[in-house]
Amino acid sequence: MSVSSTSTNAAPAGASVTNVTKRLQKELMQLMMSPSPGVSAFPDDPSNLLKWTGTIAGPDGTYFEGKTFKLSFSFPSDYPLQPPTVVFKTPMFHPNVDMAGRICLDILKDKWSAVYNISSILLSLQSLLGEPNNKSPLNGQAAQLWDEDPKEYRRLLEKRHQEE
Amino acid sequence: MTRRLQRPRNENASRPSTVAMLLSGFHIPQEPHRQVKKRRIFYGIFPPAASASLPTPLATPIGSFNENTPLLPPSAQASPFPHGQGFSNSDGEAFVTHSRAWHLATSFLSFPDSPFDVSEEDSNDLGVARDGVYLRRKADLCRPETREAISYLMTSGANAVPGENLVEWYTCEVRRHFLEYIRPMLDEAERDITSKARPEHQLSDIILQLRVTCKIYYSVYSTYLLPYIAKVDPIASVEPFHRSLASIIAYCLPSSFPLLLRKTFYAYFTIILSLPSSNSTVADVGLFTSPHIPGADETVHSTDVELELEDDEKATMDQVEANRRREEARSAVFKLVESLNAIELMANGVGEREFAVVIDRIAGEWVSHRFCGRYTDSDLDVADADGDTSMAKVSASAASAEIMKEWLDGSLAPLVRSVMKIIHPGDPDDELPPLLSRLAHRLARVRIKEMFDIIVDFPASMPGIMDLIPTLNTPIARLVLTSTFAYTLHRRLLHQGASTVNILRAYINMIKCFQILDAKGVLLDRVGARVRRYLSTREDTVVEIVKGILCYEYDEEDNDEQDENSVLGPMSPAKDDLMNFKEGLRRRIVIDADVDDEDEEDILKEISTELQACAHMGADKKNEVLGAAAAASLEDLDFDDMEWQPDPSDAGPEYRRDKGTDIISHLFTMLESTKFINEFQNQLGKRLLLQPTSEFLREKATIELLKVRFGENEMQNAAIMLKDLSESRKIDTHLRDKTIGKHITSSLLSGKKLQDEETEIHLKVISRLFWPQHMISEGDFKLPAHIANTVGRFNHEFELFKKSRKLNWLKEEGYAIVELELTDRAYRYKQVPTYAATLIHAFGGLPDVPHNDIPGELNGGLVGNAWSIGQLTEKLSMSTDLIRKSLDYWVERHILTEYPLDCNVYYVMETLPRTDIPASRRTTPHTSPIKRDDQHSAFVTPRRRRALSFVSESSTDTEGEDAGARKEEQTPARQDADDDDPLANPRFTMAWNYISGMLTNQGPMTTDRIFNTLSLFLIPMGGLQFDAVELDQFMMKMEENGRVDKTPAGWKMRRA
Repeated sequence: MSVSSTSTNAAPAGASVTNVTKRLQKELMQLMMSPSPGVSAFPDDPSNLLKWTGTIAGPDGTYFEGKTFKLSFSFPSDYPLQPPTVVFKTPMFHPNVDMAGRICLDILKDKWSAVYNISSILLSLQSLLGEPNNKSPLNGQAAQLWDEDPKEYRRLLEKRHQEE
Repeated sequence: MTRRLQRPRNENASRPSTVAMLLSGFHIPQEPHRQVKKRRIFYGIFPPAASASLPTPLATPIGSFNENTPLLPPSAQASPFPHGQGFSNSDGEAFVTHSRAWHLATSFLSFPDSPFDVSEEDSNDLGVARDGVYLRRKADLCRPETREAISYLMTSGANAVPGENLVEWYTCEVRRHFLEYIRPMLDEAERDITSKARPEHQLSDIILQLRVTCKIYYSVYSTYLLPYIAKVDPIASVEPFHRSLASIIAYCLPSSFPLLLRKTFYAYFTIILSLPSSNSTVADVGLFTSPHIPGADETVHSTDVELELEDDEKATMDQVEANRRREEARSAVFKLVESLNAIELMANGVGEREFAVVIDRIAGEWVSHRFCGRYTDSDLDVADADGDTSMAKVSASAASAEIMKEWLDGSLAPLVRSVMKIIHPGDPDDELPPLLSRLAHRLARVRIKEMFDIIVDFPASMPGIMDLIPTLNTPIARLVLTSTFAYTLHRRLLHQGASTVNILRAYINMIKCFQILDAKGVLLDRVGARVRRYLSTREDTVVEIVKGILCYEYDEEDNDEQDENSVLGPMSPAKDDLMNFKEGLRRRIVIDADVDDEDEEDILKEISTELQACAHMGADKKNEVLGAAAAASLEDLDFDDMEWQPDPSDAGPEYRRDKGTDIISHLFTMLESTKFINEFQNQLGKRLLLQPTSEFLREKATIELLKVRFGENEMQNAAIMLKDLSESRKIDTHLRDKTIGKHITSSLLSGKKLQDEETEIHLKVISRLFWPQHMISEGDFKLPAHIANTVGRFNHEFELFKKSRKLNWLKEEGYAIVELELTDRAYRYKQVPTYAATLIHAFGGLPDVPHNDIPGELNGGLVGNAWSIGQLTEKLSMSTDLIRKSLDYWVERHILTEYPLDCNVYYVMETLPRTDIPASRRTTPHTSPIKRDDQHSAFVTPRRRRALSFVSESSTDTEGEDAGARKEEQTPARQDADDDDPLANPRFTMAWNYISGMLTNQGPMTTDRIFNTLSLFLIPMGGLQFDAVELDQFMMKMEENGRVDKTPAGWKMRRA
């Protein structure tokens, strides 16, 4: 009982940034102690934990197999109450990612919950690569080609990926 | 005939007009100077009067008096008589003679239309008073016929009163001259004051001017006019002129002259009395001594020389210099006073007034300088830092009154006396104003200001209080004291920043001090009410007071514990072998948990001291206290009381004479008695349960004392609590005898070894109705098995001992002695709450499902047994809240800590995590873990504890330690063996995860950058166990293993 009460008391409004930092430190530790295969992330600057870079390996059996994609994470100061902003840094050709790398994923928007963390975001994104939601595409061309013309899709993806 | 007629008219006109003139001199300061000018202009328009060409036919100023222009000199005045009036006079010849004489005399006597040249006229500089240039020239001009004319006018002629007219004219002429030429100069000087920094220069200029002028006025008067008047009436004849001149000077003095004078006096007296000067520019002392004195010029040279002198010589030089300056200042003051006296400004004038003001101010400053902040004996003895001899002389034990008297007699009085001698030469020496009492009042003022500090420092500040007593004899003085003090109280004490203990302590001192100042308690009543009101708004006032009442027990306990510890030491080697003992001593850090975190400082020992003091009072005094309240209410009705006295005149409306004279009653009456009694019972209960001893003599005494104040009934519960405790002792002894006896016999019978005798249990049986209810907590949990056994036996025995009664164990109350032996440290806690003791006992074993995912080493410290909260709840059937509380208890003491990845899991810190970064590989000096020594522990543990408490000995089990040690032992060997897989090195396992994370995401990085980043993340966890060189080697190995590539930009992850 007293544990929880003291910890909440000891966290006045001004300490929110430290709370975020603490939480992110913990997440980093978890990521490092138990890395999930195919995904990883790391802070850009050890002194500012609010900006991270993540890496996703394209899942096997998809167009993205053998490729790696970089993402940038930007955490708000009230994280984890608010979702981080996640953008693909590697040029992407995917129905739910626009040309600027912005991602349409419900858990990064309205379905966000504080129980999600970096690792779950990365895993969700990894699965999104294999199973796009073609009903609400950001990239119409990609959505169209995804099912209709795999060859063209692969070509355009390859082209995009070379732009890096 | 006409002349006869004219004369009386003239006379009538002139008499009242003299009065008018004097009055106008005083009351009409409407710039007469300008008026004169105006008038001149006005008359200048008309043709000159016929009389101008005649030898001054009628030049008396009479007419001008009537017109209220008293200062108009005759030379600038037209005849007030109608033209030709004088010529129609048949008595013309006498008139002409008179007129001629008048003309001669007035033109000789009149002053030039310019101020006197001071440098020419001040002939005093050679020390011989000689006439100045002007006077000498005047003497040269004085021809026989002039003398005759004056003599004629003064003695004979038609004047009814001989000489009156000419004297009046002369008086007028002096006024004219002064106002027209001297006054502008004075004004000029005043205007310069702002620009000039030196008041002495200003003053000297003004005084010199005045002196010279007055001297000329007087000389002329006395040389040419006085001889004729003196024959008639010497004193009465000088007096009007004298008074007129004095009044015109006083009137014309610049408005800043008094200030100037005051400044100058102040500067000189500061030097003479060696007071620290408030303004840095020290007065030029050489000023009023004549500038031609050779010493004055030497001052400059001597300061130059001084710089080259050695320090000690310089000190003596300084002393000499100071003495010299003092002497100079002294003579300067005398000179100044003399010269002021000469121009009638000193005695009964502005000079004397300013002198008195300055002396008073100086005295006040000296008092505050000497006594401010020094109200203790030792402070008063300290000789003045300035090395003032007059203060250094003060004998060590002198009270402030003596110090003042000494200073007065030694320094101030001689000075005042010598100045007064100059001012009033005739007065007897001893007629000084009551300076000493003045000083005493000054001192009282200082003391009143620092009353608060005095009270805080009481009783060391006793002399300060004694200083106040003699002056507190008027209601006004008392009012000043209380209102000043009340203000200070408000500002310095009665605010949020002050702790209740401090306020209480100040209040206690206040009561003591004010009782000394005013035994009747009126003053205390006035200031105390405020404090009482404030304190009653504070929640913890009651708590602190009760704490104070009960505080003496701390001493007892301290002694107790020291005994305990001393037993622990020397007896141990008898049990252990010597080596083990030494080892144990070296590794063992026995930290006794404090009984209370409270600082001793924060406890109001004074209260219990006072209470004890009351105990020593005679019985009648006690009754007095008891009956005081009752008596007070009856007293006013007791008409036979021959001792009755009215309340002091300045007593407030709430004043009650008999409102207790002792501190305790002051404190107690402030509180509601129920509040106090409840708090007292709470704290007493806590204390009783905590106390290992059953000797509650002092508590008993305290309760008896409180009974006197609150009555028998109020203290009944407390008394019963005490009785419970002494009963408990009997029960405890009895039960223990029984159980242990039975246990031993049963073990002997069964042939089993005595197992848990080291756990001694003591019980305290309390009557639940009389104890504060919140202390009886119903929390339940499983006790450790061996303790539960003993408890069971106690239950059994108790039921046999007291039929039809059952023990209801309050498991949450009570304390245990816990000894913990960890790999690197050992602790002994004296008063661990039972729940915490139970919890830590659980950590001695492993849960059913061990937490294997926790690494053996975290943050550089060995990890011992780990339990999750769920597991603990299950095992102990303790409420989660209580478990959290217990965990907190141990986390605070750095025994347990939260597993960083799961806040529900706690583990034992077998070794404390390292806070430093080991720069290179560190092999921990391995020492064999101490085997738990049951015998030893058994020896130190037995202490009597309260009924519900049990003595638990808990320690992390040896197996865990062994395992940890083994792990550590193997580490170096494996490190060297597994060269081919660098990841096998545990120092790098965690780091590699980070390295791969950062290389994957952040691109290629150099070793340095990797190391820096790693140190930022890993140092807080204590996981960085290598330096940059080692990291580089590690990276190289990883390259060999095909995990990374070396690129110009740094290390890069190789694609899998």
